[in-house]
Amino acid sequence: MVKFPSHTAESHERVAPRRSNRSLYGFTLVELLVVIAVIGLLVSFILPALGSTRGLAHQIHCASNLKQLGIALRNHETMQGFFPPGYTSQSTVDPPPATRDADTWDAPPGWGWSSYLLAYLDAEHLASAISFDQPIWAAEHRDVVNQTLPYFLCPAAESVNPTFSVLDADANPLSIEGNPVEVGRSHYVASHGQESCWGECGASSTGTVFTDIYTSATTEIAIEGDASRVADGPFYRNSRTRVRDVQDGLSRTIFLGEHASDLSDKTWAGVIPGAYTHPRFSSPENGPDAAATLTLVHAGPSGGELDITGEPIIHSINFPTYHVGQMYSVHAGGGNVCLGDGSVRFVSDDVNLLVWAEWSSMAEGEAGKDLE
Amino acid sequence: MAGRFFAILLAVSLCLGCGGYPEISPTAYQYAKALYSVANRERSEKLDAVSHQIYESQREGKITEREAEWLRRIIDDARRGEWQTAQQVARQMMDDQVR
Repeated sequence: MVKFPSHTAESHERVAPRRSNRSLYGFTLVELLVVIAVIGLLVSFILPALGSTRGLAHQIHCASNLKQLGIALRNHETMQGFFPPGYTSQSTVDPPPATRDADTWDAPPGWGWSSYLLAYLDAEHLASAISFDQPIWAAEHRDVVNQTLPYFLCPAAESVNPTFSVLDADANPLSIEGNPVEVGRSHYVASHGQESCWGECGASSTGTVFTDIYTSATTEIAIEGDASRVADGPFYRNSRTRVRDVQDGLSRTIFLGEHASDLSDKTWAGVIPGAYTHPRFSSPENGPDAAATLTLVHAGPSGGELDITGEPIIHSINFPTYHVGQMYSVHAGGGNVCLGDGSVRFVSDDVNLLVWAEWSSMAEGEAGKDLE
Repeated sequence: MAGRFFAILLAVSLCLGCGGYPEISPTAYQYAKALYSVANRERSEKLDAVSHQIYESQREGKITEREAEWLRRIIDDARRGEWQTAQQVARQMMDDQVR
């Protein structure tokens, strides 16, 4: 007969009370609250870090998109001999097209700078579906211009519909030749320079431009529908900017930048006569602006306008007047711009205003200090 | 960097009691915009002229005494060489008008 070791019974005696103690042992309410507090504290430390990491990732993604657009610009210039037009418009043909806007002289076809880059952006299928001599709003383009393209969208910008209806002055859907126009969104805009020539300027016979941003000197010029007489940046109505036109240097001239849809709608398609861009939020100084701001922005100073103290008005990226015709980003502390050489820089909200203006014109010999 | 941030935060908080700027007059907004530009470009030579202009606007009733005081504080920051603080406070004044 097998005898079990006597320690079995003893161990029961020894162990049983311990088990009994353990069963009584648990978390007190205070301990639980302390643990919850510690976890809460850790989460409060981690969440902002995660948020800023996500923000940084979005900023890098945004910059990467802009870099692709910059390369496409250079490829366009190499192949065509000039950078794409800000947008195309039969503004000064005689007789003018029936759909030419009487107030701005914006006219068909309207294709914007981004649409001319499609062939250089792995989107040949869309480029080949476009008849660039026909209007954006032609029936054949209805299922083209409402396409969404990933490199035109910055993930940091507000997640709104990837397409939007082009609006009129009263913020109602614009109807042109009896049809509304639905276009694909873009979070990137091109620089018209310091000066702007859209809205009434586009149809004016004369206008005022700055000749010296340091002394606020201005002069009167004849415009007569030719935006090139006003624009001092690389993209404007019917622009065909060549490398040699960028006398300040490709690496010292802002070509492209961001405009998050949190402020207003922009499109890669182009400019529709009679359209307006409306701000999504209002400041005392922002409001609807003309159709050209669907694809273009400017830096100021412009049109001889001065502030209340007599200084030229310059609006750098995220300038707190929040015009729909300025660059705007939702990244913390600034936004990305693409220079003429295709390089991308992150520029601070607090960038020196004069430096911003200097880097926005392309041939005025002003770009002295570095853009930061 | 952190010190500068807290200095700006303190300056803005002292100005506002942490409540943000209320709605200001169009003229006060114009001055905030101009002072942002002055501070951004560190234009010390403009401060006296702008200060006088603000005084005149207050006298003419275009801006309230409270608005003038806020604007003068921005100028005071600038006079002390705290350009970034002045710029941030001017930006805050403008940002608080966004609706």
